[in-house]
Amino acid sequence: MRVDGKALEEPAPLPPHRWSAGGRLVLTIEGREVEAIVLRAGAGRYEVWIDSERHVVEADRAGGGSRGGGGEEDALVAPMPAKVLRLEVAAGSAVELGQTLLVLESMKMELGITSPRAGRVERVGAGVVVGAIVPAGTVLIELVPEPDAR
Amino acid sequence: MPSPAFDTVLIANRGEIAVRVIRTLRARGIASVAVYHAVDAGAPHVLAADRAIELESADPRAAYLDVDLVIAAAQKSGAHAIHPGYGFLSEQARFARACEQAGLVFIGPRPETLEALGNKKRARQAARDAGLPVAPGWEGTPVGKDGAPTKEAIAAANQLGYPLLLKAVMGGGGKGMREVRSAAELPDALAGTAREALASFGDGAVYMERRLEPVRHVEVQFFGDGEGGVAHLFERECSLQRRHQKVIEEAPAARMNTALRKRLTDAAKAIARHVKYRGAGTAEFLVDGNDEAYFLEVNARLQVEHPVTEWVTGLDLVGLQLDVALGRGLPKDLERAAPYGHAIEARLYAEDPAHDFLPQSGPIAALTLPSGPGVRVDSGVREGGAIGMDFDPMIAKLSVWGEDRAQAVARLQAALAETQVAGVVTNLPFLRALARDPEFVAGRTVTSHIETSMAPKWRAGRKAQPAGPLLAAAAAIALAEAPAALAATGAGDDGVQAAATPWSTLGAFRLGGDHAG
Repeated sequence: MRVDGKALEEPAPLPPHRWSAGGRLVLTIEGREVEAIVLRAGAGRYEVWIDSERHVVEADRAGGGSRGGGGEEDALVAPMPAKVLRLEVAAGSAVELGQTLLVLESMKMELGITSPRAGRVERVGAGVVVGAIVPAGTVLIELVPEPDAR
Repeated sequence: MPSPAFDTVLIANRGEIAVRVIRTLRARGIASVAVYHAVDAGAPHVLAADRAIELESADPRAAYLDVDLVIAAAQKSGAHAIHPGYGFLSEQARFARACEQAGLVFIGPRPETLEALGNKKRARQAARDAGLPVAPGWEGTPVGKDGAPTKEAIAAANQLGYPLLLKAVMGGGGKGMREVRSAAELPDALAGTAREALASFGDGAVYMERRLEPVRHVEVQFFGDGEGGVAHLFERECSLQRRHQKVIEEAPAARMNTALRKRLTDAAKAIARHVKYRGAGTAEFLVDGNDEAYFLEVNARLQVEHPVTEWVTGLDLVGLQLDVALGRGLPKDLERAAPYGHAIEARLYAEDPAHDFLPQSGPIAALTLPSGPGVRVDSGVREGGAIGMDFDPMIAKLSVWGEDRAQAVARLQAALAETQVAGVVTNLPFLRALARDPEFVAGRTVTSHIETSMAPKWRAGRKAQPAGPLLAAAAAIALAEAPAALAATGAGDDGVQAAATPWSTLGAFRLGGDHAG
């Protein structure tokens, strides 16, 4: 599975838990009950809220999770509903740390999405084109490390 | 002058401040009338009021800013007075005047006072007339007919030194303000500030001020009876700010001494007396490391952060506003010898501290607010509601009182730990970190603290955090079971969705309806 754009191992076994109204999920971890709130965020994607922090969770895509070096790939997600103002890279582009990959606009403010590290753009998210409106949590860009650079 | 009398008050506002005003009206046995745009139907302020009148307008923000609509609602409801809250029409002289002309009591300063203080150049002049030091600045004509900076402006800027601040003459509360770091930035910054000022305040006039740094933001709460009688209710410190907007406020100031308090409160009263101020007002100052104070502006209304003053004085500031508006004047002995204990307020906002505190919108799927000894919550939203894109994205003001500052800080930390929000990203995780920040705990903060030091450190620390076992387990369970569980527990397949307000409703966000203070 992918949590906040990063591959994460599913724990086994899963801890005891129960659901109640409003997407409230109560888990027992180390003998203590803790609550998470689960909301739908689109097809196959959920928001898991823990202690007032949002995490975006989705299943691995077919073939997407087989790559080695788990956690190295990076998906950049839209932090809020926004319009894609500029797209400055395409699949295959080599990118540097801090390079602006795309620019979003939300509430009349521009937000540049920059690369968290050097690497290569594996793909641009589905529907991420200039002028598109993307919901919060949309995968905008997926990065992979540049093999030669490592 | 005959004393006006009223038994029905219309609140020309929304959200937490409308709820706050209604609480005092109810306690006083005065009937309350709310106004609302259709997007706020069923909102807490609408339900709290005795009556509510819809303001029909295509644009939600424009509805609350429409003088004619609001006056018509007051007349229709039989209200005799209007409380404007903060933001929206609260400091608009034309609104105060329209109320008077319609025979309604405006619960606030006279229109002439709002005119004099709303124009920052005139306010600075009034402060100088009252003998107050103002921040060094230049108030000439900065932009020539050709759109380029005038020779005088360039020379004045060099003399003031960079970085400097450009401010809209009709702005205030941290709006219409821009920092200029070098002479090269000046032409674009002047043009940009003028453009924003024209769009936000209907007037493109701009002046320049030296950027004082490092400084604390200290402000004095005062009241005037409208005839020259004035009193102060101590100071508040609001040094913790982001985007020139306050996040945490406290009363009294974290570090205060008798001499500085006397200078600040005397100065605030001098300017209030000078304009024969009527009602509640706040004089804002910047205080440098040598306790030199510079007048900034007067906020001619109730402030967002007034609860901390209520905590340390035991007074109801809305009640005092009503007393003045009813012509009863100010109570004798309003001024106290010393503030009682210490109070701190934190503003819970739907905004993303990881991304430059950008405003967020979304459903309030879950909301738990704190309570307990010394804890107060002022909120205008509730669980099941939503934060839209039309208004200031405040969720609640959490304020705490302690016998001393240390107890207040501890109670703030506990109250923030008790608070939970899901469905919309908030600054809550950041507020929790801020409440434990060593500089804040020690009371040593300056206005640049969040943006230059605290927020970058917080962002770096947050990125380095690995996903814990709880997140991994909750994520795996969500993927495996959420489709069935969300349907079975009544949320339905389309139940509580983490969906956003439709983009098409995007209006001019935060354009004058909100405020720093």
